[in-house]
Amino acid sequence: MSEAWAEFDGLGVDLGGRTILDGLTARIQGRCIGLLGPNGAGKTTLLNTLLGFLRPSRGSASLFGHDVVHDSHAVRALTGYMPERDSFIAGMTGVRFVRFMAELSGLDPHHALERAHEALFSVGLGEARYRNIGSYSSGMKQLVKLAQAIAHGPRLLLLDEPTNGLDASGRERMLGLIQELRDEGSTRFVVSSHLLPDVEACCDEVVLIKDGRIANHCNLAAERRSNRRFLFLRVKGDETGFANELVKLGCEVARSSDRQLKAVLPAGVDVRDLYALAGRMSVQIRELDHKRDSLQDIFLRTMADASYAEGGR
Amino acid sequence: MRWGRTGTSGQRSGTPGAYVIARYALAATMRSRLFVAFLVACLVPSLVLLVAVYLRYNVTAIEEAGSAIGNVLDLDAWLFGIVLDIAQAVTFLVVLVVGPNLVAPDLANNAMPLYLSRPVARRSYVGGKLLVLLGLCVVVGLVPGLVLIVVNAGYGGEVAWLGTARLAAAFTIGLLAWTVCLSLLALAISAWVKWRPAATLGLLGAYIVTTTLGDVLQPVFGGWSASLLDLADAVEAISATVSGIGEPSMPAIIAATVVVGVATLAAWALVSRLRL
Repeated sequence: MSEAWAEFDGLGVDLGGRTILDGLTARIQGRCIGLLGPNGAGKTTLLNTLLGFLRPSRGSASLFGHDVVHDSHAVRALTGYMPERDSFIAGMTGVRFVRFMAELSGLDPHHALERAHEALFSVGLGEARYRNIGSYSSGMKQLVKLAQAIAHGPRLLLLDEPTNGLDASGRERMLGLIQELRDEGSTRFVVSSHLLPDVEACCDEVVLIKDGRIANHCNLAAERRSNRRFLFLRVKGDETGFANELVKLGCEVARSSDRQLKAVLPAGVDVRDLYALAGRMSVQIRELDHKRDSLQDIFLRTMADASYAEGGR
Repeated sequence: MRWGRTGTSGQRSGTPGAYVIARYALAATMRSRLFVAFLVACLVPSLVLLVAVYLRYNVTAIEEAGSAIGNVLDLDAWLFGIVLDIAQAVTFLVVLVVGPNLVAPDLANNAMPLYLSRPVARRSYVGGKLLVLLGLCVVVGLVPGLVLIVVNAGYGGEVAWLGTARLAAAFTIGLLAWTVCLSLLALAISAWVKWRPAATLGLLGAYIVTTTLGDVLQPVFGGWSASLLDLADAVEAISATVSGIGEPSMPAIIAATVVVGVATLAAWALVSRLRL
């Protein structure tokens, strides 16, 4: 198991007398983390706290071993940030803007210029890099924000609603870029979004935030792997005997109506063993399906659980 | 093109963020040819005064030009005052033109998260913007003024040199105090209104209102209490005290308090607006 690069310990943030984040405790290990939650859940507040824009009211948070309050300078030197809203410096060309941002992150002017060109080419703005940013379309502004965030080669990229304001093709392109960046280097990502498909497309770990609390923290890859062990079966023949034999193989089995079985396979048993068993017992497996538990299922289940827990309080 | 990421380790330039911000802001300011022409025009009054100083000490030229010129160019008593007035006026114009354009566009375009998400503190941001104004004001106000004082001393001989250091110090202190206060005011106003034309008008309005109020209240209150509203008066009082030329309009300690108070208030107002 890889080491945690982000740790929250009872992190809480109050703003204007309201509790925005409350008791966040987590150890983040994944490569690309989805910060998911409804609007107003506290996602942007968490990002702002990690960047040192807001001071925690309680608890602590650290990134790569640096405390976000006491060592915020070091945290920000390691981080690239793509804000949610349109943000740019007026009157600059794309390449000058990205170079400026890279220099502010600590690169010398020569390297910064080199990296600015590379970053703009990598996000697909190579041809438009000498144009004034003011003349860019919404999609191009999103891309140039991504370019400024990656130009200095950060260890961590914080992307706040990266597909905000993009049309379908722009969104596709942005998600593709994030996946490409994720797969190419060793940079860690935090993608904050209220769009489940965006997070599902890029992230391997999800932190679900609701009302300033972590409602669920799950590893999507592990969830997907566990789903591969969860089967729906419809059989014809001696389904009771078949179910009993499955139990002997170590499976957890539940029977439902209409000759349907639900089975969770133990380690070391796979689908071929089931077909072999069915063959020996002359039972026909008429249907076999894996459980398809999407992020949407996890999200809805978590939100329902959180609402239930609140109701029970 | 494949995106190769090498990270920031080992490449850090160590250049302070304030310097990087100042460099880019200055480049953006100097991109306008009209502004460059304006800067050159700001040097004209100092050049005229330089010629006047030359003529004053070049007796032959004055005699050839006529007797009246000698009286007009009798600069001994108020050369210092003229130099300071010109420098103050020129720096005011430069701050009025450049100041509002430094912070307002950043706030209007939500650029603060871009700056502050990097290893750049708010004070570095303010320092960078302030550096631009100070640099320009030094070029068009401080340097020509010092040149005039030195040239005048050079023509005056040994006696004039004795007072030159004191004059130069008074001029430098006065002009820097004026420039810093004015620059912080301009940046603070532009941070609050976030719109360049309104910021320019705001600074101009603040200057006119405070000086006019000071003049109007002077006969009412008497003494120096009305001068508290006039930053220029406070700066001149500091310069007069240090140089020993002329009668200060208020005690130096009061004048210094006014200057520090205005600068602190403006800096606080500015920094409080530099949020996300």
